[in-house]
Amino acid sequence: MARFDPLFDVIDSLCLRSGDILRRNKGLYLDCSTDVWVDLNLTTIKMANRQLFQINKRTNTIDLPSNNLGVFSVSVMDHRGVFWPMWLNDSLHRDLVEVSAMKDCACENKCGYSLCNLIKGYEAVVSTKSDILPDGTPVSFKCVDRKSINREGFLFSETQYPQRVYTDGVWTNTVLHTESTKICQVEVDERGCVCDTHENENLLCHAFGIKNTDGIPFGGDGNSFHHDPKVDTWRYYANSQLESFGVQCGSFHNCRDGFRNIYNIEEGQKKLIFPPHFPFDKVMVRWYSDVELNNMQIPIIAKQTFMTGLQYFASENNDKKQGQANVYGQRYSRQKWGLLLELNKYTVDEMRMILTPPVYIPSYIDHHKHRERGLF
Amino acid sequence: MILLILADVIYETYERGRPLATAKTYGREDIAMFVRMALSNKMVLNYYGTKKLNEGDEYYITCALLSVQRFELEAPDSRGMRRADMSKFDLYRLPKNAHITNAYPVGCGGSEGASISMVQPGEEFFYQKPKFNSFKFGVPKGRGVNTYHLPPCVKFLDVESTFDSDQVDVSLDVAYDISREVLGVMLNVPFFIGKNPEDTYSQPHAQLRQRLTQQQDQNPNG
Repeated sequence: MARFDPLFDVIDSLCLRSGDILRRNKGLYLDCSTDVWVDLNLTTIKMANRQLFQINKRTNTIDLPSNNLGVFSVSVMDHRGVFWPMWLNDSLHRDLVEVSAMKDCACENKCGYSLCNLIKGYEAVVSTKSDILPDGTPVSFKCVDRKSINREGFLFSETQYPQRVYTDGVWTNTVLHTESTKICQVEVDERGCVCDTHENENLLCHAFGIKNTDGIPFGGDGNSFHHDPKVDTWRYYANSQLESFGVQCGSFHNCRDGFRNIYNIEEGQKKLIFPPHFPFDKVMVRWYSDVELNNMQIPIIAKQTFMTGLQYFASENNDKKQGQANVYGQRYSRQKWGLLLELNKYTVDEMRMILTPPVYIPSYIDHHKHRERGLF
Repeated sequence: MILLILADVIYETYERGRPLATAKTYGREDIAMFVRMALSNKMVLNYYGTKKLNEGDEYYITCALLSVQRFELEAPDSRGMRRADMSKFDLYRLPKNAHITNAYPVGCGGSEGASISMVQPGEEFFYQKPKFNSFKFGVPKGRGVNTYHLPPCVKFLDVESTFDSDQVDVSLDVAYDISREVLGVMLNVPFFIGKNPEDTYSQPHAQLRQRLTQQQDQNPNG
């Protein structure tokens, strides 16, 4: 999902393509946009915010943003700034499994490389950082940390933070500063896609602070991880460094079964609650947000589905357009399903192979034969 | 040809038949007014004609009439509405406000860029919530346009519409239809009466066609 179109451009396209040259339906489509976007996002696209929250240690809670639609993943960050997964609370029915960073559509070239997909699908991390102005007034900035890669294979890290401005040695202002750092260079093919090589994987993982190649168990608290005596007190586990790298980029994580260090969601869906002995100060929360029309960006891959959704929502409640609504409804449903398959191509393919393998593989192991005959 | 020349041609045709038509007299200005009314009527008929084509709403019929005029925006009222007063101009109005094709906000160091959308009267109620603050739109009401959500730096509105003027371009086919409408229906001039005149080979018809063709040839660009 590397390319996006602003909502207003998508609606102009829809007006043009549907013959509404004077854009008389623009307002109607705008009114439907939020509903269609929420419907598509929660069921098919699953694009989320990834934000760091400071835990209130007096209450062991964090306040969720007012425009939060749902929380589905919580991670913690260690003292080196590396994110580690938390196990989901399996008693929370509102938790949603989300796989956006593992989707193969992050690369505009559809190269199919895992590394390329993970880097281009890297989700920016939003956090609020505070400082004061020269007159002592507190000021807060919404800072964005992101990583990107250019066609030459250089991986960049962009960090924002408050910076004090000095003029002739006198502190005159505090502004939001953006710092860009070149992290490393990896091997790319002729299209600029990151190749799936062992060297690239090591380069990237080391750049992200992941240095164990044999699976990464970790535990303890914010300052003690693997190889630490306290590692057994917690039971996080990542099978490979690539899986850990995926977590850094924002993808869903797997943990050992039975891990019970849970968070909870307040009944009013406004707070996350952590255990009293929770050792970390910050948590990374991935959550769906309600987006304002002016900030709404539609992924190019979902543009056609979104436009059909607008037509469906715009006609569904109009008694004079029930015929059109039926057509648009069926088309919207088909396109949503197609989009879901496209976004989860590999996941769906793996499931298909598991459920309905295309060939019968005979077995010469005795007990397998028994099972086939129903004797076992 | 331009509208004023067409009015002159019809006036001359009318003058030739006037003693036979009626004892009352119409001046050039009266005929020009008839021409405007007939042209407006013709545009509306063409609008409905294109609606039957099943190819979406098409507005090629208004091409020749379109022009852009700049209007100053008034100060905002309590709801943030700013009005562009267009009362100094007359318009050839079309159903569903189709006569306004674009409206460009001007100001903020040049132009605001994209055209704002026009909505139908009453619809503006739904877009006055904070959710739609980024939706810049206008509502044609009376002889003007009420605009909403335009930034304060926007001072003018460039409206592209079917403004009336003596220099409006009329094509030969439309000119012929208008001539027959004015002479036959509005003025009841003999030889032109009714939708299907009894003798289109008559001298007045021939003269009218000849004069219109001459004007078109002399002013191919209007």
